[in-house]
Amino acid sequence: MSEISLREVPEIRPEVAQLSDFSDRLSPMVVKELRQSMRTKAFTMLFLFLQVILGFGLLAGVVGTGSDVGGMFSRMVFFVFGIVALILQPLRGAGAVWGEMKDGTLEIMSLTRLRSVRIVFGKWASLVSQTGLMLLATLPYLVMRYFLGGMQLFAELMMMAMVFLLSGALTAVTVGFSANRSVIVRWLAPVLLVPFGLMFLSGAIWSGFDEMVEFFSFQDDAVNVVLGALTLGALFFGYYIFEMGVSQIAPLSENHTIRKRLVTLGFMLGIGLLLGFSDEAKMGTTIVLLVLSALFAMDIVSEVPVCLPRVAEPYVKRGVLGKLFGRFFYPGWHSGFLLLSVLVFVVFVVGGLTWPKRFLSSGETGLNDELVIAITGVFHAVFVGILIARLFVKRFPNPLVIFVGVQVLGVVLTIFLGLMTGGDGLGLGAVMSWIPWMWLFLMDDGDAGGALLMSFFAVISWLGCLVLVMREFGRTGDLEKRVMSMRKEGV
Amino acid sequence: MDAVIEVRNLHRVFGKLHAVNGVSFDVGRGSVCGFIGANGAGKTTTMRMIATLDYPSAGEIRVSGYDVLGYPEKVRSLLGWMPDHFGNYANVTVLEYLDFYARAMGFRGKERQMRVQEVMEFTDLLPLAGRFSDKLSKGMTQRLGLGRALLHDPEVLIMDEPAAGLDPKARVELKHLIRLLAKEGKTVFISSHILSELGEMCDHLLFMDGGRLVHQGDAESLKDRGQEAGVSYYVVHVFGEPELLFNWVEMNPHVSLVESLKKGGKVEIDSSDPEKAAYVLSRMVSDGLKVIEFRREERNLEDAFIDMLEDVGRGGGAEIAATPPSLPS
Repeated sequence: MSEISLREVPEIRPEVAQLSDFSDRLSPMVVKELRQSMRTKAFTMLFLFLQVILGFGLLAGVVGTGSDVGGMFSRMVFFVFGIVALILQPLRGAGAVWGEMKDGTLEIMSLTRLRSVRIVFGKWASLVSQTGLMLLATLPYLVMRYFLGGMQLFAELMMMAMVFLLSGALTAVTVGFSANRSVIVRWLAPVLLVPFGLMFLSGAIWSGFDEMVEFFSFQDDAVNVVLGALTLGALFFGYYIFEMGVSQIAPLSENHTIRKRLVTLGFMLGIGLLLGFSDEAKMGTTIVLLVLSALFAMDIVSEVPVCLPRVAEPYVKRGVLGKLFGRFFYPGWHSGFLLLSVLVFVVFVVGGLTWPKRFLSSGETGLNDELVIAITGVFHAVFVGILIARLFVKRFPNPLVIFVGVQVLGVVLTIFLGLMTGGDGLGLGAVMSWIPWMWLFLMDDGDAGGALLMSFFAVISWLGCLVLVMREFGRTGDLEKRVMSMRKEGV
Repeated sequence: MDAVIEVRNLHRVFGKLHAVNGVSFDVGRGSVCGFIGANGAGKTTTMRMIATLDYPSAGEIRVSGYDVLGYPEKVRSLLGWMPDHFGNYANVTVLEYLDFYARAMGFRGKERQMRVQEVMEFTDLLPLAGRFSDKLSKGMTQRLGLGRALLHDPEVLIMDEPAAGLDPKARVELKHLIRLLAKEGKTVFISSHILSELGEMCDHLLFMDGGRLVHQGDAESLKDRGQEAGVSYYVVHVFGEPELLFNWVEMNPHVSLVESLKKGGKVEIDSSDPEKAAYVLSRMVSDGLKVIEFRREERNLEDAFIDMLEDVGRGGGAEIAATPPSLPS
């Protein structure tokens, strides 16, 4: 055993000097992940798989004599790279953060200067870098394919870039979910990804390849808008799930919610203002906003309503306005719920814009409007889910699982009732409108009475949540007083 | 005492479980302080709260004067944490493992290499530099964990059950390292449920049971506590069947059998007065027992601790008993 003091500094040994293989500018987490994952069998096998398949494909293309040899090779390149980038690489993210949690290394990391966002980012960036390496290894085949003839180089390169972007978003989803303690939540996305990914790839590459190439030649303005919106939506979805993962592992001393909530609010208001007032885009925009609000609710439901003095301090020191701002942005489900209520208002303004006008002018309720029923119904399901998850949080400590369970149960009950009535939901809506997702019947039937009753239940469950929220804010008030006294004492 | 860790009326509640119940103590700067208690006594929970990994339901913790809730980053920079169990990374060498944490702690360039080299030399890990960290023995893993905890040269080192699962050689090595750290002036706060392990290397011991601090002092103070209770222990060997001794003990109300041995037994006499022991010996001989050995035995720490717990259980009083305030779970 050496007895060298910690403070006696000898010359740097050659084996230690080799530690300069990665720049100091790179995030420590990225360095560690790259060192670790580039040595894994999974990466080596995927890389070799890609090279072997594409090598054989190119050989077949060169010796082939068919009329569309080049096109077939293109399809093969996209199909194989698509499987790797859109299915296999995101799947590798499914255990990324959980592995650190399970081994207790996440806690040790939290004692360093690494913030939770950098930890999750490192996991994601490492996987995306590897996908990038595979993309670089695939590009030469695409260039060589050019010499087989009949290729729209720009469009196919753009398609490749889109696959890469989508792979990044999907990887963010699996990495984000991998921070959840529930095995169901962690593996839900990957399990869905495999069949849906294969279906999408098969359809898009083998049946609709020429149309895809046409889309990516960016000739049609309407298609460009759709592509742009889809890309933005996918990126935001990936970002949001990524942030959900960050929230799951962030220590209480980090206010991990403010950035995520501000971005969400900004994104929703931006989309609402840009597209919501155009009659053509109203339906699509409302659906997107509705999905995002439901995603937001799914996220906030499991946030722990505990705030440390140092997190509350920046709000408290800004007086009444700061505290008011804190009501929407303090960490915890209670402040998230208040912000969700604002988002609900935004969705109603965008989606039900004509509703107040109609209501005021002709006395109609607008509740036979399909979109209004859908919005009310989704929020009813969301509020019931939050209320049940938070009421039973002591007994079932993973509220997200309860929230998802309530939704699944609601859907199952709705389907069951649908089967019982032979698909004719008429009359059921009014009686059963307290069940989440029963709005599907109400919308189908245009049942204004049932929709009114469902709105009543939605308001009741919202009020129930509000009671729980107010109880949590009672503690926040105590915390703010404590922070103020600490500030007075100069602690 | 210049306290580097100050804990005041600490509580931690998990649902219905009051894991830590009104604990208060100080750990002096530069001392080696042992934290002892059975599994589930609340040691790890207390240590985790000091290390900013958990938060108190009530009470206050300060490290070098900094409140752990108010200044967690500052506290983290002051202490090194070594948990009882931590996983290592597959496909990452010992050198890369330490390099990762050095980077994560903000060391850059040559300084980073220096820090890694220093801790590797201190923990004797240089010969293992190229070995994958998940292929190390338990003892080597503990040294790696210690090296990681020392990278930022912390004032205080918190070690939760560091000797658990170590073979005797690795235990000796660990004790040696802790002594070296103490010589360096570091404060070491170390937990274990094996008293003998801590008794000889700690300046101060804290005993926990059922979430409460039941005694604090050094090893001698614990033994003295038993003697104050007015009992003493003797090993008695007899010629012939040991049952003769057992039968004799049953007939004598001031003596009880603590443990049966091959040639006799360990007996407790309800007085620490040597004259009483001499009287017991003379009675044994006069009653026909062929006593070939009669030797007073110093109580070991385990016995003393168990006696103390029984004493506390009978309402003998904990050192620090606090009335829990109303607590959020």
